[in-house]
Amino acid sequence: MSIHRIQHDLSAYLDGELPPEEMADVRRHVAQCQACQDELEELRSTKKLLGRLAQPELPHDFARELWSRIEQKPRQRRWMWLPHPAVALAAIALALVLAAVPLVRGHLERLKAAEVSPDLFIRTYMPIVAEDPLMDRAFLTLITTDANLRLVGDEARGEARGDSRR
Amino acid sequence: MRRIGSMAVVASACAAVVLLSPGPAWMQTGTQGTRMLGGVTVAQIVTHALLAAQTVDYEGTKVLSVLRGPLMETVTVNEAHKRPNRMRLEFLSPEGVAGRLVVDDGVQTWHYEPRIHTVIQGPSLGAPIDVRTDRWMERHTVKLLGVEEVIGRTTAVLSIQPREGRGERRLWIDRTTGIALRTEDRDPADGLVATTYFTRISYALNIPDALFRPRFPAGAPVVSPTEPSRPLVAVGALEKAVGFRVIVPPSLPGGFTLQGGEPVTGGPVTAARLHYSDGARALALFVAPAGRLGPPGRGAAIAALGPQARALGWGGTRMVQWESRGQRLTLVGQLPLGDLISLAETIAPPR
Repeated sequence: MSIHRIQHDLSAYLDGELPPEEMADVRRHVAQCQACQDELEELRSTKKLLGRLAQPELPHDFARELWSRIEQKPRQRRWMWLPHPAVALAAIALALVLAAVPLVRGHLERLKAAEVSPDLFIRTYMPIVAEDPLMDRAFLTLITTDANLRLVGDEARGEARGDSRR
Repeated sequence: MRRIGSMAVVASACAAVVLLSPGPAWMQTGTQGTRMLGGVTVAQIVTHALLAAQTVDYEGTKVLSVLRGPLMETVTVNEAHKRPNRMRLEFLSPEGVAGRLVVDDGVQTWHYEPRIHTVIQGPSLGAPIDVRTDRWMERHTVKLLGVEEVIGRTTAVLSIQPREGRGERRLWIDRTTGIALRTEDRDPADGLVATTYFTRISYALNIPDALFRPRFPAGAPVVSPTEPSRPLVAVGALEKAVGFRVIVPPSLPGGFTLQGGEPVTGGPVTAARLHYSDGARALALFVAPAGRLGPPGRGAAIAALGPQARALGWGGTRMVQWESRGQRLTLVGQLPLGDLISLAETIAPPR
């Protein structure tokens, strides 16, 4: 064994923590080496001084508190990827709104189509009726022009306001 | 533009002058073959009326009364007509329509609405110029009811009914010109549903061509609320054009046969239009998916066609709209409402 390895093991030798064979090797070396004898003596003095220091008393629930923290830490880490509940709710609400937009738009288009469809249909029917040579053109035109106005979005004319012409 | 041969014009004018001479025999009544009015047949009077638009120019003031829902509406217009099928209408009253101007050059119609300062373009509503009188007579029953004076002019009063079906139109035909000075549409259920009559009329005027050209106040935008389409013969082509399956009955009860179909598009509505005719009356069946076209928000409820079915009327023109097998169906025709509902039930019973 080299002198460096012996000096590395001196602390463990002093505390009697080495295996028996290594204890014997260190003892034999120290008996012949003055430097290691000095080193050993210095270590022994240091240990004696440390042993005189007062040992602080641990709180009685130290162990419980320690384990509690140990258990908490991994749990917090596991849920860290989730946002705050308020943020999560806002995100869900936004997603619902975005999903509802096409549905609402489709429903409104359907209602708008229902509103103007009679006018569109009567307007496209009138040229067919005009094939009747004895049909009154002014009459056909009156019905067609009223339908035109609804189709271009002018609600002021139409049968709902027909009372003005009684 | 369609043109009429000069032979027809001359023939009609001759018929007016030679055949319709006044006399006491006018007070007779009769049907097509009966000779009356000094040897003139009802068929000749009808011919005279059918060709009148192509032989006479006129300008006059006309009063229109139309039953719309429960209300009879009355509108006054100045009407100018130039051969063969050009028309100009200036709406005078009531206040809601005053200033409305319509010019029809025989190919297209321009409707100027002063309230919204807009011109709305559409197809012509001019009378056809290739009328076959014999074919028309085959499909109608015509009776001469008598002779009456209208705004100081002698007229023959005709009652016209389709050979099949109900409904009646009465025409007061000017003895000299063949123009209908007064009309009445009668419905078996509602009675009188539409009337028109001239309160004054002037013939043989040199009406300037410029009146029948579209000239409107500066800055008025021109819009077309419907997209142009062309008739499609094959059902597959029609379905491809509209993008959905279409119910196509090849014929309808009462002798109505399919004449053709075409896509109809305007605003948010896309529908397939099927055109049927019995020779005298025209029917249009519009088909659209119920998922795209909601239930109608106006009109009278029709219990026989389901909870969402509605009926609308414009004079003698009726419309019923109902739902069947996921499709919204609309039937439009100049038929009594009861007949139209019966047809609708046959086409597609409500579900």
